[in-house]
Amino acid sequence: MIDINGVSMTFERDGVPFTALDGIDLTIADGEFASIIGPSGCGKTTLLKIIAGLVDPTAGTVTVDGTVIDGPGPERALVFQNFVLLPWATILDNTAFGLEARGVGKEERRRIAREQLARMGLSGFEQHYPRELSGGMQQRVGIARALAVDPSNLLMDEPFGALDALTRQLMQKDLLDLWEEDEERTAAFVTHSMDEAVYLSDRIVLMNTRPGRIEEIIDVPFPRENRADVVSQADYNEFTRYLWSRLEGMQRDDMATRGAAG
Amino acid sequence: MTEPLSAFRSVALGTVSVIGALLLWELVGVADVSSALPPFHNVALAFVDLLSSDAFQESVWFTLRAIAIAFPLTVAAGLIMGLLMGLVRPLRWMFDPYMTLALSVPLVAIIPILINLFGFGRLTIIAVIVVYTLPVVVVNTVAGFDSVDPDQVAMARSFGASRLLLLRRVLLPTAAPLAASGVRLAAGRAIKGAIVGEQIVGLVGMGGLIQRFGGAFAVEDLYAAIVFVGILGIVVVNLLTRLERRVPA
Repeated sequence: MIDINGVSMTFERDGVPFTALDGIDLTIADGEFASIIGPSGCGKTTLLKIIAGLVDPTAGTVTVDGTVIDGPGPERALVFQNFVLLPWATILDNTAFGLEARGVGKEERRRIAREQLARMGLSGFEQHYPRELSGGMQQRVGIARALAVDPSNLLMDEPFGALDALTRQLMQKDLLDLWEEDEERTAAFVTHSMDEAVYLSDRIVLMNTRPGRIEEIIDVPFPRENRADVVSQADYNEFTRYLWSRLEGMQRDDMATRGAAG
Repeated sequence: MTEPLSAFRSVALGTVSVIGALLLWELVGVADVSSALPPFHNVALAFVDLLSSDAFQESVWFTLRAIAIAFPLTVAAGLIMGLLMGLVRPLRWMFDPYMTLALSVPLVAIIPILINLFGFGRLTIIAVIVVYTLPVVVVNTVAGFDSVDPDQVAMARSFGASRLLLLRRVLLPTAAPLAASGVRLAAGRAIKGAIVGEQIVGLVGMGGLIQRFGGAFAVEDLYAAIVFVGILGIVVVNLLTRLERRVPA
């Protein structure tokens, strides 16, 4: 469970204080898949970094699984937008990195890493290097690395944002399947793709800019089990249309304020 | 570049170019344009004679020993300094000015100071080599640490990696290629430093020999000695390049 309480974040930008996040309150329940979506500059990635413990908020607290965090922890793992694999390490060693960081012995961590790679359909690539893999495959390694440490909370920062459309769809479907296999995990998923958010999540957290804040939290009115079938239904289209109009409105407001300010 | 055909062509063109230059040299020398340019075959003969002369062998050993002592020490010191400056900001702020200075100031200028400090013997030559090579190794190693990807550091942190693991798995592999090319550059500069230092001291080593040949207008011997130094430089840098390829990144 992730409990965000009154989190604010202020930067100095060109000497002017800039509020990236303003009073964020959000609870993601155990086993829930929550997407955080919003126009660029709404602070969604900053919020995820705060949950990951990589960035300290200027105010407020984040409680994960009952403990107030003050840095990264073993109950959380992060998947990065640009994969962030180590180019000089094999796929196996990359996948085992989190386990190595946690002091798991060589044999054990390689066994677990092999298992996770197999789950991601990457058996046979253990001794390859990241540059030999396509972007989609590299992100599978990124996900395998995160799942290898068996975190109760998986944090994903636009994990499919750098992939082409087809690969992206495939990855979304596989992630959904993966979630079905171990449903006890909690997920915070940052994206700027509305379709992706609807397809994957139980709840969608809609954020807005200036200052970065939560605009609305929307339950996705379709069960996650048969998302693939639901996609073609009329009420699904209606739901995505509603979301789209909200996002469009925010984006246009933001452009208008920027234009007026500039 | 890596295709066998173009690799062959690059070697072939290099060889043709060298042979062409030597032919031109021979022609200009035989035509007796200037007493400063003897024909190539005279230089080649002088080279063969030189190899068996006692004075030459003594000089070569002196120079090689100075390099063999100074270079490994400097590389080790340079890598450690580079590592510390790359990792500890305040150290870097403290030492950066000297490195910039050492790389921009003509180092020949400080050789007389080193002679005053260390005399006319090997110690001065070793000091000159250190001064010539240390900054290159340090600056390249620091640049290697500068090229570390902040996302990779964040990744390591997010998995709770210790500082040691971060160093071993992220920082060192990032810095290694640039540090290695610093070492390779330093090898060339070590030879340069040794010869220049010896020339200014004027008494010892290959540089001293070159200086004496020059002073005595022994032009053939002078060219032969210079050719030898050139070959030495090429061999050493090539050896290090091969070694560098063998070291896994």
